Amino acid sequence: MEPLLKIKDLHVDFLSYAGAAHALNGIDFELFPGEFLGLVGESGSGKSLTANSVLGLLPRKNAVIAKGSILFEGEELVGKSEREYQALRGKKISMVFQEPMNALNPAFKIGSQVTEILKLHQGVTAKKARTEAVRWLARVRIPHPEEIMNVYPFELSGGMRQRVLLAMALSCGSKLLLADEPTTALDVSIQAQILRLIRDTTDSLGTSVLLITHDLAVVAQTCQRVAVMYSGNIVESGPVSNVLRLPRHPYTKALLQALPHLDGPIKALQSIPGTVPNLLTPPSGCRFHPRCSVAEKRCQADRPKLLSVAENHYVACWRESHHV
Amino acid sequence: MNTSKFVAKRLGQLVLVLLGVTLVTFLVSHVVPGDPARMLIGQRADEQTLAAMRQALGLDKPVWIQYLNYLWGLIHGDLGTSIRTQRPVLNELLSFFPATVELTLFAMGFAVSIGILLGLLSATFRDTLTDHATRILAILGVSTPLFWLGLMALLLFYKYLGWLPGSGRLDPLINPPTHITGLYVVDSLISGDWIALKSSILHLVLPSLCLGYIQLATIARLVRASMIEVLELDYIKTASANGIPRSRIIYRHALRNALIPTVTIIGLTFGELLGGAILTETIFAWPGMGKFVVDSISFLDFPAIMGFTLVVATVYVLINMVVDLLYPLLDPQIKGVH
Repeated sequence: MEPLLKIKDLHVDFLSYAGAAHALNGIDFELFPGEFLGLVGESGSGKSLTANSVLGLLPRKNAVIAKGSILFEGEELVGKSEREYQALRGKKISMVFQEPMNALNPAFKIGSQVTEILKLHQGVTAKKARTEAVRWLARVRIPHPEEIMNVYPFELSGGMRQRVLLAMALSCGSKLLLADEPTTALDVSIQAQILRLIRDTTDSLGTSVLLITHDLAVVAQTCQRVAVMYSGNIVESGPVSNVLRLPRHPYTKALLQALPHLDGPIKALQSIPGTVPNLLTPPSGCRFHPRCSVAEKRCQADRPKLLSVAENHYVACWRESHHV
Repeated sequence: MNTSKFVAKRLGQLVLVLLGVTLVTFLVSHVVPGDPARMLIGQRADEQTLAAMRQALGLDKPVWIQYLNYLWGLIHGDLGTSIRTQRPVLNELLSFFPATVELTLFAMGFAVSIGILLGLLSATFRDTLTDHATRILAILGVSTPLFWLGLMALLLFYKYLGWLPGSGRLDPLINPPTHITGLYVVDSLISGDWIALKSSILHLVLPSLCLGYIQLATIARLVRASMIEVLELDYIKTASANGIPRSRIIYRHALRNALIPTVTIIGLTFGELLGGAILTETIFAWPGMGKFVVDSISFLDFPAIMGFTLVVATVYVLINMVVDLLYPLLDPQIKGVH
């Protein structure tokens, strides 16, 4: 099967007075039609940056795609003009963000914000757009959608706003949904509802999802495949069951050990020593080596490639794949 | 609280504000050295005539009686009699009011439209040549003294280039249009008097541009700052991610929200211009309230000065009330929160 999204050797640099920070340091992954892929990692590992690069939403002044390619439906996105991106956004690729509280324009009613996109991308009349909008609000399980059309965002809860944003993102038939920590700002009970809603809705539409999160539990609940990011690299990827149960990369292992368990003996939480590296002066070789408990000499010298260790399971670690 | 209650409350506050204003103006006018009675009858009049004049003006009574008399008159719509012209202050002010309103409206129209436009340009093309040019223009605006700007404009456009008239509201040879509103532009439009229309518009150009320039600068700077702030917000990113074109994001999604703080300033500006037209009216010999009050000041015509202050204060409070009533239309979150 042809991948819907294929990212190859993507490098994104942030330009600052202190020099260029290599925030994405050559990442590769593929996303297939209808697939639900989780992208996990610490803050600053480059998860959101990856999603923003796909949609051409990098801050124009100081971030550049230095190298690499982003293929969507076989079409190169890197180097597209703002106008070309506009035609893609909301229509073929959509995005929902972390903060539903501020993601809707406070000055306009819900109805006006949902119909605006429908009118823009589908060229339908105002009346048709309204019926469509109500249908979409109902589809994301908003009660009394007709009434919700006439309220302002501040009158809705965070969960309701995220539903509205999801309806907006999916309403024009996007094939790819980039969900950037869509539930992080919501409380736990609402989180599960929204995740289920995203999964059910995209399932029935056949939309692929790239779910960005730092929460491994969320990945376990919703994703089929997962890619783990560390400091601008993908260090491990594969089916969720493999990666979470039989992690191969020392970073993934350490992340999983840092999770609290409700069952089993009570013990102090394990944390990963050290901090996320400074992107202006990243460690040589494998960027994880200063924090890695099993690092060897060559981990300092050379960067390991992402190589297969089992079916569909890839790891970038000298100790795992390369000596096979 | 509903709108009518809000208006009633504000009108109640207006009464208090005006009471305060009368107290201050009254006290100030009685502390300032100078005797209006003496001004009126001249330096050579004898003591007897002076005493008679003081009695006629009510200046012989204790100050607090004078103040109560003044308030009593105000309640009955009597702002006193102008010492200089010997006519009721209210009539005088009413006859000069339209000229000032017309000048202020034109200055405001200029300042608001161009100010918002420049602010938008500046924010959209942030840190480019357009932005720098606009900001320099704005800084010049807030730092140029009005009297200097007015004189330079007169020298250039009236004296040397001769493109625009330099004083008054109309050419002396043209009859004013039929009095309907007192605004010459409106009146001549209504009565179809095209000659008076052209002349009155030409006469408005220099004074209203000079008067509006400072406010234009303030508005441009404010719009720039709030646009830049709004453009960084999450909902702008949502709009971008949904494929809404940048131009539409700017003029629909961002501007609408950036205008909320601007409306406050526009309201204050209007009041400021009404009261602040004094310099402009003097430079351009514009027969408005400002010119009237300057003439009154040089004559120590206290009833006239106090009347003018009262009118400006009233307009100020009323405009701020209108601004507060406008907020819910711009920002739905304020609805019913007054």
